[in-house]
Amino acid sequence: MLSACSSSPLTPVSPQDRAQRLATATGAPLRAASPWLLMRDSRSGDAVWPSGAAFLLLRTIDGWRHVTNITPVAVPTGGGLTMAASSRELVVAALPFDQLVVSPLLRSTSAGTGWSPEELPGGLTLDRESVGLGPHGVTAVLRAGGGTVVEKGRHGWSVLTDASRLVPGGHVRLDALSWGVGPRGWLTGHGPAGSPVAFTTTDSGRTWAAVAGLASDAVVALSPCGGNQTWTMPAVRSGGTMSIAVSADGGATWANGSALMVPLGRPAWGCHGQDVWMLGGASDGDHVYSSANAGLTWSDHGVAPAGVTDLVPTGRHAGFATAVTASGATLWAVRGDGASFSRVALPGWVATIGIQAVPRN
Amino acid sequence: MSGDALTDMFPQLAATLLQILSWLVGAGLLTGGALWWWQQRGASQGPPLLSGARTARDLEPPARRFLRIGLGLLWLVDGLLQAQPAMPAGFVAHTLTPGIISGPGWLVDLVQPFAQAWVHHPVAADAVTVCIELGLGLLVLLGGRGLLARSALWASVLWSAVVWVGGQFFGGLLATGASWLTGAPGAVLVYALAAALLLLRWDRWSSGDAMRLTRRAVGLWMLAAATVQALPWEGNWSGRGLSAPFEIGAHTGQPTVFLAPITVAANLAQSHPAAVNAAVLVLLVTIGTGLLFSSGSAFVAGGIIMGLATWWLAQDFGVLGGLATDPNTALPLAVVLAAGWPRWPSRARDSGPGTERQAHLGRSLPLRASLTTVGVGAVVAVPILLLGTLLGPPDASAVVADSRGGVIAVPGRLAPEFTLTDQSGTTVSMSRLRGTLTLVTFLDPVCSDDCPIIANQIAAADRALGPLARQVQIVAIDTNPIFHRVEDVEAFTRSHGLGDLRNWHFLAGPPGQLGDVLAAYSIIVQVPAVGMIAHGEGIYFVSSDGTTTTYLGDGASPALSHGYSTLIEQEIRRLLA
Repeated sequence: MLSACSSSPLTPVSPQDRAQRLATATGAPLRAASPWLLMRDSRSGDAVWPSGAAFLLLRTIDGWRHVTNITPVAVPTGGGLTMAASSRELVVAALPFDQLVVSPLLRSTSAGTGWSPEELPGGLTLDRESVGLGPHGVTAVLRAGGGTVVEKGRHGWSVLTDASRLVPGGHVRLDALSWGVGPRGWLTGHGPAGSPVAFTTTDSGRTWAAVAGLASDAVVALSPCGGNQTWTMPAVRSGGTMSIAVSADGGATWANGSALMVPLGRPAWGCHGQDVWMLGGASDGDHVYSSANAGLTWSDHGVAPAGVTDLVPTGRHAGFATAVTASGATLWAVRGDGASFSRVALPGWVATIGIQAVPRN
Repeated sequence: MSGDALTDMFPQLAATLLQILSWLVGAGLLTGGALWWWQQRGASQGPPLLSGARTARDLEPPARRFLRIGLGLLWLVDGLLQAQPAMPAGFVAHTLTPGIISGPGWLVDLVQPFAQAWVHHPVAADAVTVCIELGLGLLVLLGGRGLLARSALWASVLWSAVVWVGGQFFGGLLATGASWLTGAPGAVLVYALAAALLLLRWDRWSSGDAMRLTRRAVGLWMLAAATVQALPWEGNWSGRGLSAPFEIGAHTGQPTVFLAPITVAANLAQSHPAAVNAAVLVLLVTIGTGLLFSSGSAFVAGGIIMGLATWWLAQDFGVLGGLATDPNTALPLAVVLAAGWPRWPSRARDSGPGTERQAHLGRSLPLRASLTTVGVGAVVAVPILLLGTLLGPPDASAVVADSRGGVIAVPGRLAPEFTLTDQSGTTVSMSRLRGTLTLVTFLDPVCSDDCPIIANQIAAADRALGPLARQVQIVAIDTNPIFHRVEDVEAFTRSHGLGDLRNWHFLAGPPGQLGDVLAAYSIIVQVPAVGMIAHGEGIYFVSSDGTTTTYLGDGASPALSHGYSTLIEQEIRRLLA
């Protein structure tokens, strides 16, 4: 067991510079090409996991004691995977890399035992939430034009909006699209200070407006998470802090929670109802913070393990985390809202199955 | 593909072979030295394994001795041919691939692991082959009646079978164009026949029974060859088909004294195919029947002369060109037939008093032990030692070797038919493309490495052709069993900027139908547990009459991608000229 004591690598980069780096970096703040989790509850969920030069899609139904490989075959996954799930359907897409410029998309209504292939009309942004399951079907954020939002309808893919429509003449890059209750959705992105970086729709994506109440100097907005009426949306401000916007009315209005420092690494955060875990910067490295009120107030649980890429509370102060270090990807069981981390051993094949001995294609 | 590119793995091969040779020689010296020391301590004879012609009873019948030395020398020649500079990089592309792509799908499945091991480890694979063949040659030449001598003959049969299936694809019998002139059904089958005859008891050679059997075996061979020669679908009654083997020789650089008769034969076969083929048939049937039913020397002499003439005129001595793996069939067959000469003496001449011979043989035992060690080491130890390498991950040089194919001629056969749908929803079939030069390639629409590069290189070549491109159609067949719909190939076409090419057809269809087409073109698809599929790559150039003419292997490695479009363009221009 690790008691939240191994320090993240310290860098001399100031919080302002870290915020600026996240705002101008190519790609998305929450990269899909890293280990990350999509848990439905404390026992069942899916994970995107690196293996050799590929990424796997893993599934568990017993809290990662047993693992099943449900990675779709015949798809290059070296660029990472994005996924979205509803109670009926799982959608996965391979992110662009190397010569793969159009993202293949696969849908499963059989818990990943069978997949139906589709082609997106372009390459996805590199965010974990670049695909979603909206009120009318699959949605996706493509890289084209600084971010183009498309939706799959009866007659194929149609464009809902794009970055140039949302911020004419701006330099905003759209990253992710997440859906709340009913037709409510949020588009988040990154860009220079002074630009809106989060947008909301109340009509399933037909019209979009900048999220009211987000800090005016926000340069990166992270996809909101939550459920029912309570939602939390962190935003990186140009000054190097993370402002936390909290909504108690399904995203119609937002209040300001307590701010945290921008982490040294990439942001990592997750929520389960009003329980929120978040990685925040501190003088001695990145700390794990937890909130029981959707981010209005935070508790500091000390230094996080090195290289955390995802924090996923699953209720009762427990959950999971993922990390990547030079020695590889690791899965952690988390207790005490981040106070202790214990390593979860994955089967040996997880690390080796992606190392293929097949000829080049 | 330049000769330099093919041969620049030779230093690596030479270094590997020198290292192996040093090990073997070292082991041989140790063994010989130990035996010599043993003899100095009073032992006059060697171990039973090395028992050679130690007594008069053991003296080898001359016919058998002739055949054994012939077989040993043939293996040595094969081993040396296998060590040619171009062999590591060129063997798969120029020797295996033409055989594979003209054979059935199951043959591809059978040969694929061997081809893959060679492509991944060209130097190690070639070194193993060289060692086995040189080792077999040495062991067969050493002769004797002991276990090792018999094992060497059995190993000859076994290795012949491996080469016949894995390297010669049943001697070309499964493809069209098989002929006595081209060497079907393959030289190594003759080696196997020779080894099998040598495994007969020595008294059958002394009695003449083995020579009779040899003549009958060669007689049957010639009658079978006559049957194949007569089959209409083999193409030997047409000028194009019959002259093909002569033409290859006529276009190979060699002294005029050799070349002139080959050119005459090529012209004769081209202008009077029926007459020439009929003459070949008559000769084969006459000599074959004579060998089968008569013990006259005339038929043996006729068979040998016909074999040697074929070896010269149609097979161009078999060893020229830099990538030959054996001297072709006619010469070994002539050697075997010569061993069946009915006038061989039944016993070897006595070489002197028994005690003197015994003393000589005793003195030669250490040398014999050394050579035997080298031979056994080459045939057994080297393959075992290099097995780990051959089964391991690819060498750094593998990708380079894989892309060293260049444009190669393939047997002209009707390009397999298909009817599939292209990216714009148009039905495209091979038969409807006749009248234009058609490039047929194989791509995965969700590929993340080579396929887009290949497609773009083809597109670059097509654009460079200018107005000539109107005479060309480009067909890519979808290899992905999951992403096989029109939307998939359309997305690839659009995203890689190929939509402006009017002659570009990326064909999709139901997986079963695509699988049949891929099998017909001998394209293997592997779907690994994770990640992108792996599939055979390359481009067939199909002439306007619908027959395959040339094939360009995968040249999409970074080292060659720049020149790939040039190769394609040059080949298109050549075929259109």
